[in-house]
Amino acid sequence: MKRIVTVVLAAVLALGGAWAQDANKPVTVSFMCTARPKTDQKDFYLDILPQLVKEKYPNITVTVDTLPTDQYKSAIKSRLAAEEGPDIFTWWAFGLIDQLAKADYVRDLSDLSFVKSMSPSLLKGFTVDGSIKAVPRGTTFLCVYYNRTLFAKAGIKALPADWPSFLADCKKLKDAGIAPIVAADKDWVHIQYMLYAAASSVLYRDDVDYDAKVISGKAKLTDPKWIEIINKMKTLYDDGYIAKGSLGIGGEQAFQIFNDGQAAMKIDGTWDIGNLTKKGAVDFERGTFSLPTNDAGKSLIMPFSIDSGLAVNKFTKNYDAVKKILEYWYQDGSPLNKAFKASFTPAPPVFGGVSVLPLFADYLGPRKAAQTQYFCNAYWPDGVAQELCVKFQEYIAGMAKAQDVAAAAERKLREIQAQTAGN
Amino acid sequence: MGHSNVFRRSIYLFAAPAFILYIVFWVTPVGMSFGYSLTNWSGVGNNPRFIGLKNYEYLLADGTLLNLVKNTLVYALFTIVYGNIVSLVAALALDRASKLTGVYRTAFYLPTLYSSIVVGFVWGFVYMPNYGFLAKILAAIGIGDPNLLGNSSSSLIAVAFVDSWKAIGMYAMIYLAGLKNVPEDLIESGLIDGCKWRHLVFNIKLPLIAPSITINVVLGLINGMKSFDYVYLLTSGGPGSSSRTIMFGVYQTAFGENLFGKAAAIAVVAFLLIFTLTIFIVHFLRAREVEA
Repeated sequence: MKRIVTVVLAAVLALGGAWAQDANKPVTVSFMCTARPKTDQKDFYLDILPQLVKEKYPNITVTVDTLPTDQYKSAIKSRLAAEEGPDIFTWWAFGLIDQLAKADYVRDLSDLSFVKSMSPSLLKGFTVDGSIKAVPRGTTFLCVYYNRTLFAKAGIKALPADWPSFLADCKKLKDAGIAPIVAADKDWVHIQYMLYAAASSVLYRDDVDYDAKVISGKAKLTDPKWIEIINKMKTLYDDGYIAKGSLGIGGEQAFQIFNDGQAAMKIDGTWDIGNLTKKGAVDFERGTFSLPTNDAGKSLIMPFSIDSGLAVNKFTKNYDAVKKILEYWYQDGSPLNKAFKASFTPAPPVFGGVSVLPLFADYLGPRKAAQTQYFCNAYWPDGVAQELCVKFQEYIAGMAKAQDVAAAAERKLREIQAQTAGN
Repeated sequence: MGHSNVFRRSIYLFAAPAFILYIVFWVTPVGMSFGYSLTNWSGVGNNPRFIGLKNYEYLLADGTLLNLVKNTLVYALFTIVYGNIVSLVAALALDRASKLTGVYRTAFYLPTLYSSIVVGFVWGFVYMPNYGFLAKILAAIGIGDPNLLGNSSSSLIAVAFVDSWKAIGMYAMIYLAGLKNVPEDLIESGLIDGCKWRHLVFNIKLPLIAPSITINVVLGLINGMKSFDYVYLLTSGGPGSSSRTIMFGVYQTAFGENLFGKAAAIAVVAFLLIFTLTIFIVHFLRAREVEA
């Protein structure tokens, strides 16, 4: 009897030891994102995330890779097509997560404990056929970054609330010898910031479901609303409110011009907060406000969207470790969660509030009462935005009309939809 | 005197590994490109649908293909003509012995060593309107800023100029190597017969460095037809599509629009074009080569 008990005890201990060894087996989890790493301080993704995960789970090593956006998308898709790729990666909501979900490249994350307490409006962008295909990291918005000093110099006391007052303020800046807006029109990516920021107050003023209608074909990118948006933006060029030679100015150059105090405004998004708050030739205070393309007396609709979320590779071999990391990341009060909140701007509202940065005060203040809408390209397939913006470059150069710009985008949308139908 | 069977078998055996690698990594992907060009593959998932020549129809219908081919030919022509003329002049100058020949040769060759990313980034700031180096120089001498990269009529040539600037050193070295092989006795005979410098160049040196000209023209053609780096770095094919080249079109269509089948169709056209032009030019130039 004693011998049997001894043997059984030894077997249990051995199995327990083996299980403990499996649980502590070193695991490397790969993470990829498009974040622009901070170089003047510890970066959350490159430095803090691996460090804090290691402290919590000594057997888990997180390796982080970052790439610029257009290379990132092609790198991720190529690797997923080969059933490889990072275990966790950031990916965009709506149309783009749809694409990966339909190709069965991403796992269902509905079983994560914290998603139940997340705001449905945030989860909506990452829910495909009832499954949560990525967890949101927070929100993002398009805005006008402005130089408070130059605005004061031009005598602008209140921020514009509609299109006529915005044009009036641009005129004041121009009359004061200040370049009102710097536009990086050489890079089509920056043109889309301007067009999407302008689109909100026009497209959704009487139809919040306009985007779904465009995708289904019930509405078109050649509708009068789009012509109105394109023409309004062209006004800024025709009236000389956009710094000269914008077609030869790229993104990095535009940031430098703004940071050097040589232009009063830059239309951009929260993702470029780092680039637009760098120290330049002069020091000045910055602010942000929503680009008001609403007519006088009409409501301003603000472009406020979901930032890219964290998706998990369907082919990952380390899902247990991935799940631990994500639970730790979103556990309220955990060191990783606190570090994430401190690094993310604006702070994700799912965690109880929005950013208190003074930079966003003029934007987030009106947001409480204003209607907000996701960016208009949320469900566009890749390629439509570039075609729209590239054609807009021709419009700026005087080689095309507003109708040509809209027609090109509409043609590209339908071509891509026809090509990918049935895939 | 023939070779033995053992010798012949050995040839095939030794060539087999390289041949297999060539088939696997070059011939097969090229063949697959032809296949993908007939599908609607989006690069996501693995179920492309056969759509026949639809991709080619799309390319012809919206004028994309015509624009890409036109821009690429202009780009290649500029890099060939400008690059070869300047590098030939440089090689003729560097062929003369002087104390600083080594310094001049190094200065000419240095840009070839820089990476495309660095060159593109720096030239982006040189061309920058209002604040760039070129704008400041022109403003100092009272000429307005031409905004070369932001102007659809000049952006393509401005980008091709950067590519040529980087490649001139390499072409010059090839010409220099050719000039070194020109027999000295021919030069001496010419001088004795009273030839001036231009006679020596046009009647003796140039004909004898014809193989170098062939190499540089063909290299210029292939590099011009494959142009992508500086288009991507400096203009992203803009303004509009005024500086889009074939390879940029392939990249944009594949990775920007997720239309890998259509991108493969552009690549097929590029392949046929480069192949045809290269054969024609090599045949044309080889017929004009002379030997000493």
